[in-house]
Amino acid sequence: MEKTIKKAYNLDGDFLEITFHLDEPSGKYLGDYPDFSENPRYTPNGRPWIDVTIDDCPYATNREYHDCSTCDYMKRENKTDVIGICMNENLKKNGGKLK
Amino acid sequence: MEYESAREAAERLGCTVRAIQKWAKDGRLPGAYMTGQMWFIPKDIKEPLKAKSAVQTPTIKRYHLPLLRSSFEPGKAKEFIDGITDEDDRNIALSEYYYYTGNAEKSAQIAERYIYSEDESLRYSANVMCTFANIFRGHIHLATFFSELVSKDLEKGLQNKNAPKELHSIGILTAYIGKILLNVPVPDVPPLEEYLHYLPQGIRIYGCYILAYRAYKEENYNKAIGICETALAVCNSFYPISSIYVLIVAAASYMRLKNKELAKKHFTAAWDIAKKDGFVKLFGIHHNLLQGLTEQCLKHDYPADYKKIQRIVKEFNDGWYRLHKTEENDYSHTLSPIEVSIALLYSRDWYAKEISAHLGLKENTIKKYISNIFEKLGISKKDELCEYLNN
Repeated sequence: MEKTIKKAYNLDGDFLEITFHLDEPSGKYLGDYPDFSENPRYTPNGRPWIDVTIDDCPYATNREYHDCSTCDYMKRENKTDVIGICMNENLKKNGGKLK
Repeated sequence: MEYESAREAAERLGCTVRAIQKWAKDGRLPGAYMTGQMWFIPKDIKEPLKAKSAVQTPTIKRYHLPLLRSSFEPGKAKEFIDGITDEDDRNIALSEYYYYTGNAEKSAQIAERYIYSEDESLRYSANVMCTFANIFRGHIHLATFFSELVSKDLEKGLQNKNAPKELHSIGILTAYIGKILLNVPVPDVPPLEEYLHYLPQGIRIYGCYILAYRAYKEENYNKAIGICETALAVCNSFYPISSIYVLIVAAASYMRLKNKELAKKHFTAAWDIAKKDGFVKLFGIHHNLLQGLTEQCLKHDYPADYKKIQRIVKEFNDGWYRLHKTEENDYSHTLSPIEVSIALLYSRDWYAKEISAHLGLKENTIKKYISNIFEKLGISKKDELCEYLNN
């Protein structure tokens, strides 16, 4: 197995390449994701990239779990991805209501 | 059946205590049994049997798990064991010592000599030690074999209505060990609560640990804490090993209630006792229960012990995985010990920021762990994580 592989995520017109490293004990590839909380990234349409570890916001559709992963606004390329973009209009850059 | 002391029986029957003791020893008081130096006489006896009708009633010569049941000064376990005069008790105590200090191999080697002993207490002790030690050695077929020996012995013992209640109490405790701690099928037994008072104090406290653990598993954390605190408060001597068990469950229960200060206080109290004799095993086998307390309290201050505990966690998780043949949803086999702690906390409403403060790690390190956990388990939503861990 390759020690590293790359995958390009394509969402809302934005391409984000992530490097995955092989974790030998589990045999799984684990992604080196950027920290979107510290360094926000937006698609050309102003939608923020998010991941499963980000705390929920007041617009979340499911407040039970306090995170983005269970929110219907999180759009992923594949169901099993741990990153995606937020489709809530209020969170769009330069157009959203959330400060 | 209700019992009274030899003195009370003597007063009731209008004879001397010495006469009661002699009749009991000669088997002329059916149902009478001896514990240590004391006789317990059934209250419904009106007179002794005639000498030729006398029957020999079984007596308990020893209790099992001599190290667990004993009061000794922390740091002096080896010295205490060397001072045990009975060779068989000394060997079982040594087997326990090796188990608690993380040497499953030596523990099993010593205990295996007694698995077919004529003495029931020795047999129970040996089989319990062999079952646990072999889980760690990865010899699951042996662990299963020994736990089946315990079950067979237990069924036979419970069917013997003439056996003293104390022997039943040991058997019932052993059944609860299998049922509550190992999740293995055991014969139906009466409630442990009804037999606790027949056990010597050190083992009675261990029995309280099992009941507290059961309450914890039922998510009744306040009950678990109540049992633990009461067990510690009512001891009239100090039983180090049983106390460690009880303090650990109390710490785990406080963590579930998010009372981090009391959780840490109880964990630290347990560690302060255990570290003096190197009893690290108990922290390894309870690692998942402790939800990051091991990392918080030991990783930086006791790195060598922490590394040993990590090895024990891995051995235990591997053994558990093989014992229960779980193929799906066995997170403890897939995740590292610290990932297990983080996964459990995250699934229990702890924010990444809180977990980072608890474990003394940066928040983005915790977030990295969380995304790794999701990917290793093949999940993408937090509700899936909760379901995964609860199964």
